[in-house]
Amino acid sequence: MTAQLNCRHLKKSYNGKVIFQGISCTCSAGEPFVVTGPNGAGKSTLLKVICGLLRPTAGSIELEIDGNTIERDQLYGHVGYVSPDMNMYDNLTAYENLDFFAAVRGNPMEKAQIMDILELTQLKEASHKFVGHYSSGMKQRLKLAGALLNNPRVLILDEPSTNLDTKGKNLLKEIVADRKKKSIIIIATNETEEVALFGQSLLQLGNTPGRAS
Amino acid sequence: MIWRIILGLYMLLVTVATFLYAPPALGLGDLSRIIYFHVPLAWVGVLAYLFSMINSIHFLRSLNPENDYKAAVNAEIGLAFTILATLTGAIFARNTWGVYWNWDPRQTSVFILMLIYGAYLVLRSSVQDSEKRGRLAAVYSIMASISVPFLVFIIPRLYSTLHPDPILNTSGQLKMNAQMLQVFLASLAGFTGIYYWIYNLELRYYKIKERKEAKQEHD
Amino acid sequence: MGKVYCNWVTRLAALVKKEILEEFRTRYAINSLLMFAVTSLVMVSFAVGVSTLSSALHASLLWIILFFASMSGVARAFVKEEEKNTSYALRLAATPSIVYLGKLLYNFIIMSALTLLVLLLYLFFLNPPLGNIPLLLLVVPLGVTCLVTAGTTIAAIVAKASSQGTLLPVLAFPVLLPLFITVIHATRITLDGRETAEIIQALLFLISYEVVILTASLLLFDYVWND
Repeated sequence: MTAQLNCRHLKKSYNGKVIFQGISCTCSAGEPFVVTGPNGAGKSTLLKVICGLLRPTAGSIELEIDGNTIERDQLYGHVGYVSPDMNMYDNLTAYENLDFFAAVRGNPMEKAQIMDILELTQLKEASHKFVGHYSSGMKQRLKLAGALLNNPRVLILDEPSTNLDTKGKNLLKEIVADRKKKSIIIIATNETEEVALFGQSLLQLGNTPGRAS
Repeated sequence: MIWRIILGLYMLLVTVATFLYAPPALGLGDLSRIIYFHVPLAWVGVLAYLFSMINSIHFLRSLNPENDYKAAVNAEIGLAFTILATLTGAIFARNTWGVYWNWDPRQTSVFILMLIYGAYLVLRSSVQDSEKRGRLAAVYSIMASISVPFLVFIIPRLYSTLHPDPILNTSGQLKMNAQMLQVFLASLAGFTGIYYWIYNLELRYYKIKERKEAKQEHD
Repeated sequence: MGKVYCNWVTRLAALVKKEILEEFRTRYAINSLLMFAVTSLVMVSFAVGVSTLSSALHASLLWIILFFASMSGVARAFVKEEEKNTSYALRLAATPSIVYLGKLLYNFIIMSALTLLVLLLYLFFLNPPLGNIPLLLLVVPLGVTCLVTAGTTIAAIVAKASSQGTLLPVLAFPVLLPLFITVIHATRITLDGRETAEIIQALLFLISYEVVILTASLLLFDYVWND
């Protein structure tokens, strides 16, 4: 039961402007991997490149789960992703959202299983309300719930505590602690107290583009 | 540099030859001289499309920005040439058949090529990110080119033509005499040369720009 | 193998179900398309007045209405994912071929309903000759299928390019032109009630166009959908 993610010499540029380059890191299950840096340093872009949403301009990403190498175009269903740039469907209820995402991945879930995840993220009472009517904190918890569907072996959390209250932040901490043994967890944040909270392995993206320390 | 001057002199010679050396075609009179411009223009329009599409396919495979640039440049050149071909064709149509436009199959084909070029360039101008622009434009270029063989098949079946036979018609006969053919082929070569010259200029501009950007990145 | 196939159908069904559910909650596409169909038909019938049209004109008018209706109908499917920032979630969950085929099926369902409505309203307002009804009911759905297939692919390009649907008719027209020429010609023949070898040729042409466009779309969609 091992999972390891290797990034080698990652570079991403947008219209010829380099956002980051020369990023190499190894993330494995057991210890959450934290990416920090000021706004505009390329944290979100790096996370998108790692989970396969953006093509790297140069470099390679290798994901190995239990001895099997997984290619970029087979990532579907292996990655749970939370990000401010990603929304759930406003016109569906929380339950319908999770039901849809599980089914479209090819792993349809029983009603009880979905309700378990919703209970974990404290959304059970609101499970049949439209997501459009949710508060922003509830939406954030639903994104977390969506990322936990089908127990992905890679969890990529971009600013996961956005809009969460103390209770929500504790929940996030519990989830990370609970999953870190089995899954690779990569967190991007720029709140210093959170960095210490989640783990030690650290990648700091600088303000000057292209310099990662 | 020297080639540019040679090409200029050559085209001057061809132009003079079309009016003084080549005899007028039977039945069409002096008007027939337009074919020495019209047909080469249309030929370059098609040629540029072919190169644009080949580069589009290469771009999807390699994501090399140079291929995308080549595809775009070919489309720009092709648009200019198809517009000129459509105009010269319309002038010819007006003076032989009395109307500028009569949905002749070959007129329509060049016109559609012009529309595809136009749509392709409009699509390019609406995307900000250069890599995404290249991918979307390449996919569109391929989709559009798929429709061309269908048109070639369907149009002549539904619309009758008044257009003079293509130079090499179905029976394989040449309807030109030796002098006409000489001028015609010379003009074809000349226009292809002009196309190549413009293309090369654009490419050199691209290389210089790229080198400058690479230099800035290192600083 | 059977299990893989079954799984594939389940995933596709999940996407189509989601699309329909979303649509029935907002009724955005249905309402706007309904109004579009009624408005354009009434406009045409006012313009025509009491004069009788030739079958060639009937065929052209019908397909012009269907073209613009489908352009506004098909455009939404991808634009809404970009507008509401849901495309990342969908991209991480579904393979490109599932996304394309799901959107295509949904567009097809919407357009089938709309085509039926347009046909009925057209009969009601403009009273065209109906030479060969069974053949007409073969030609029109086949033409609409081709229209939706090519339209869905181009709509995906447009959604990624500018996330507005305004470019769609401009980009779709050159691709759809062979379809138009054929389907208008075939519709005219069926309205006239002639049963000739030409119609067989046109039907074969439409089928081959559909196969080629669908194959190309499935091969190329990955490049459009994934960044």
